[in-house]
Amino acid sequence: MAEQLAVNMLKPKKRSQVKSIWLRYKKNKLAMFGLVMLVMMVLCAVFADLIVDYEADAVSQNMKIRLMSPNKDHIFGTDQYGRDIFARIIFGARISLMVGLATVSLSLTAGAMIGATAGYYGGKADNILMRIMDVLLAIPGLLMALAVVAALGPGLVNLIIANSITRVPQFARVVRSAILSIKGQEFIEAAKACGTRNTRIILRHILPNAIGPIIVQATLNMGTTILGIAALSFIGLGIQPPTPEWGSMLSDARSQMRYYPYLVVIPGIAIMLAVMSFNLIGDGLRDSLDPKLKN
Amino acid sequence: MTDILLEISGLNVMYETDDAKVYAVNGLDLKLNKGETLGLVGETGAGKTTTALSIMRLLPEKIGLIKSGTIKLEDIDITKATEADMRLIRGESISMIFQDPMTSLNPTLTVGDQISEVLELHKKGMSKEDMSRRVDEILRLVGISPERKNDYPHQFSGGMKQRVVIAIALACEPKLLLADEPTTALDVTIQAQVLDMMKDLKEKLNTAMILITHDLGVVAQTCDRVAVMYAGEIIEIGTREDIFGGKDHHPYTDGLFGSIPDLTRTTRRLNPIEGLMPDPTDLPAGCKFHTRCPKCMEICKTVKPENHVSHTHNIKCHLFLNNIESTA
Repeated sequence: MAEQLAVNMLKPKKRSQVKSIWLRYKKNKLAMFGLVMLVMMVLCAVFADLIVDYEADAVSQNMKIRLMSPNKDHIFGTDQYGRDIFARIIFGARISLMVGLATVSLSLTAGAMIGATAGYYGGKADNILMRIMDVLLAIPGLLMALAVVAALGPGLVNLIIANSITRVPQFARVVRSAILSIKGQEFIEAAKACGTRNTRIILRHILPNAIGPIIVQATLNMGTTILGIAALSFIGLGIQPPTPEWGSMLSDARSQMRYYPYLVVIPGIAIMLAVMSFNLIGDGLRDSLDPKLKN
Repeated sequence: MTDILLEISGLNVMYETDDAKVYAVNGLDLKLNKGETLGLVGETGAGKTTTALSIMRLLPEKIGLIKSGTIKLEDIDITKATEADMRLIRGESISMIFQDPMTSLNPTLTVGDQISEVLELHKKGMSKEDMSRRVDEILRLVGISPERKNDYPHQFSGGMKQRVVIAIALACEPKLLLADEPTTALDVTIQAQVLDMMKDLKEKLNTAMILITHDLGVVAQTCDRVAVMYAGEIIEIGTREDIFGGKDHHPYTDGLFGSIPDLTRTTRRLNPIEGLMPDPTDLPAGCKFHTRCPKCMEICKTVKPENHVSHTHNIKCHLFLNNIESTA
């Protein structure tokens, strides 16, 4: 009984770190705005099937209702094939968020492994790995992604791979510098003195302490990834029609832009909001994870 | 019967950088019995920490090199052990307590997790329940209530953190504990508490300890034997009584004692040792202390002094060697 009580009393303490981060985050109005926006977008993407019908509204063409301005049946209007733009935006969110998440997790994992190895072992390993990263960094991201997609062929998976490769060096550098700053600290020495293996030191002692800059880099990268997917789709190398994607929606609407501006404005706003919400969250997290940055 | 736990002979450690070769430890000999506490004293840069790191084989990679000599822990030669063997020795047979408890705990893990990590590493067959019981037990041993094992290091005070560090070091009941200035970062009242506790614990667990410090008061309080280090060698070693009460001393030891205020003596000023420790990249010939020694003789400048042995007391100084020769 007394033990149970003690356990209950201790539980909130265990979360105190997360809690204090959340309290600091909550104070940042812009970051909260970003978070609310993202949550709404995620909800739309997850429950897209409940809101609209994919086949009927987002994909199948209906020439009778083509190019209708926003009205009460189609709140964002319809495009030149009579597809409901609202439905396409919602299903587009699903693609953008999914590809963004997959890309960031893939490049984060690879980048963290490379950066951790380079930073922790130093010397030759560091030199070789980081020079390879430098080579990748020297090629502009979009060009690189283009080349990869051109080589592998367009498609969802190849799009993820292409975007991931261009982002690995950024993560590798962030992780490496974080590890370098933590590696020299005394508790790492102490962990070694306990007989801890190197991989365990990296995974259990170093990375959790470096999580701040990594999370920030990841959220900021989500924004640019979404932009990157839209860009590739815009030039026709990304998601293939008729799958709704924000970038390809922009591309499709190009020819009608002059007379039906809402066709480009709406997907444009969707991209902007998604990118902005991730950037706001990233900025907010950076401030709240580092209590020294703000008083 | 071999009571010897650790035997270091002719240890030479060097730090090699592109710019210079630093002779950190020069021909160090040391024996430590089971369950014994040895105080290792000396100025900053005398090579105390380097000695401890050599025993752990944790010298900075590629820079810190054990040039020659052996370090024997019972039957194992640490200088020749593989890295995998060393991982098993560290934490299990030899533990180390670092100087600053504020930075030697991982801020992202609870103290309970950090203690059980050592157990996970060295007691492979231990069940989760046994482990958690052992964590409670060891926390109680160092005077922390086991309910606090789910707290993070930042929720503890400095003295409490050092207790946690000690708990981690003692979790596997090591044979040898290296304490590198364990109380320097603590204030005096806490210092006494922690030292008393360490003394108690090592008696309970029959752990031998090398206590590195430059606080002679701490040495007098806790150690069985005392070794005085200067420029990488032990210049005087003996029992606590030899060092604190004995008649003959190395001039450097005299100088160390002359540098502490004494309540029973009436002197107007302290008598610090003149000058600084010699540059370890360019050590003087002969006795390394001769440049600062008030009793320096001609022979000191060229010839390295041998050990002058009387019972348990060894002094490396020509002063006493000459005496023996002249009386013989």
